[in-house]
Amino acid sequence: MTDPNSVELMLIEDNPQDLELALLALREADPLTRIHIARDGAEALDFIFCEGPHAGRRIDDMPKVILLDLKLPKIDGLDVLKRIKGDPRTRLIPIVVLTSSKEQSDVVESYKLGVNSYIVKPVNFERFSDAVRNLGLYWRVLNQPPKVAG
Amino acid sequence: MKSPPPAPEDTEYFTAGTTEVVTEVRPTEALLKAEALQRAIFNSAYFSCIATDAKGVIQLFNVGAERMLGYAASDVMNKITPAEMHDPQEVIARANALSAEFGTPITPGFEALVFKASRGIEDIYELTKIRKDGSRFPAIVSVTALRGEQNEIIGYLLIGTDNSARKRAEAALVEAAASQREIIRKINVDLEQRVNERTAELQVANRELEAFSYSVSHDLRTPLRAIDGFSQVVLNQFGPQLPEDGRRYLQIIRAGAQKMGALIDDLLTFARLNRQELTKWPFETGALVRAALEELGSPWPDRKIEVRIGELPATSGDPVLLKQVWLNLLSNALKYTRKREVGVVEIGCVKTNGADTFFVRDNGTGFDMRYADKLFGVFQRFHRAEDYEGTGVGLAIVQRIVHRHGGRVWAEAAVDRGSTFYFTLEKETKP
Repeated sequence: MTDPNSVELMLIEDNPQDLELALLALREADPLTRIHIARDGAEALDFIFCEGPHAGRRIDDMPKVILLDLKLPKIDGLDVLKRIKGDPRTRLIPIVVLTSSKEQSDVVESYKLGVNSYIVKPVNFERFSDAVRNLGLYWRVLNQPPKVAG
Repeated sequence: MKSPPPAPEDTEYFTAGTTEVVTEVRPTEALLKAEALQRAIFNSAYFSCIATDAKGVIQLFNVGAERMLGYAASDVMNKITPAEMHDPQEVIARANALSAEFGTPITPGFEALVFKASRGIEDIYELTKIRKDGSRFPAIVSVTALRGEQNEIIGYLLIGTDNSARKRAEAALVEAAASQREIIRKINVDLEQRVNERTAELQVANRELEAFSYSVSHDLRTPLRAIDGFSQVVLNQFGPQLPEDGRRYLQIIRAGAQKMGALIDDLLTFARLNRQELTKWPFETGALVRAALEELGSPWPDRKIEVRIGELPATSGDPVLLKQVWLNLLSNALKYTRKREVGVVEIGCVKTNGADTFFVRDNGTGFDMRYADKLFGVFQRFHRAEDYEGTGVGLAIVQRIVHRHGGRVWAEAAVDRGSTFYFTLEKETKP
């Protein structure tokens, strides 16, 4: 299953500045991480479920971790979360919700939908890059992905 | 000179009887008076006076009866019974009721009208009478049995009055009461509708406010991250090429962005306090205070701070929000004792007007009591930003949480001699 070209980390983020800062933080931690970027919910789901432009991809070639922004164009972050966690083929992919929202309802809803971790993007860049880096490393390196039955 | 009064023209029966008496005996004055009264009764148009024989056949039918019922005396005398001038359904109902009451079958005809009277029972009843032309009116009828010399019943006297006016008045009253009830009902319906509308409006307003703070929470913080983040990236990647001032300016930009982030967070916390539900339960105040101190970095290895915790009674309230109260008061105490060689923070509880009153006292810079009324306002600051950092929202948050618990918060202070903040979480009762 280990494809040398498989995506290790998927970053779903629509804001170009947040995206660039997150990439800077991730590259600083490990410049070789294979990162796939989706800029809205629809694009993200196409990639994960191998549809549209990604129809040729194998679905069992899962990213090892997904960093998901909640506020996304087209398909909202919570809906992306719901789709991934609601499908037996993809529900084991660790998802970290990464958002600027401190709203209680978002946190509660995300946990209800089965999110693995949740962080609020701090305004302070050092804390932001620490958070992104730590979460990426934690899920990608330290977390053994569970074996999928079937 | 007295002469017999002229006979009334319209009643053969009555005149026949009296003329007979007059011809035989010289009428006395009293008798004449009685006769005049009898005639007046007979001629009265305002009540009906009907006499029957023992079987119910009408024998006397006065002017009032003629006027009310539309029959001429000659139409009815010796011909019919008064039962025929009543609503037959009502007569049947009365017969049934009397049968049940007296345990004996009573015919739904004249017997039903006079049964009680025949037993010597006073009887006044309300029934609907039917005129010759078939029109109807409500009447009150009083029935009496007429007895002969051996006390045998020789007939019945039925005196009736037209009850229409009273019925109309009653109906008007009922209608007035009904329309009043209708008005009250309409007012209630209207009120309920307005309450519902207002509630719906409030819910919409609340949802809008929620959407607004959601948007503030997300969208206002995003550009701040870019400002702070890219300032840091510039410092990291190009710092060595920048002059000293350039690096300092970038740090100022970063500090500004972070300050604004803190302001947004505090304002959102403050705004959320109004719509957040309180979940109250009893808890240990001491444990909450120690947790708050720990969160604030206790025991502060790089400062000399003496914390004295007195006896703290258990209390009831929303522990998450009340922890925020303690956090804000304690962080103020720590902040404003920063320039003391030894900062002293005293935490305890006293009784004020019968209520448990928690306090946080410090030996810090204090403030001028002349400005005490501005202390709990949003964005009110007592110190210059370069002396003590802060958003000016902390005490406003404290006050709102305390008010939502039904308590009160106040302060005592003097410039350079520390300050004490007190709060209660219950209604104060006089000692």
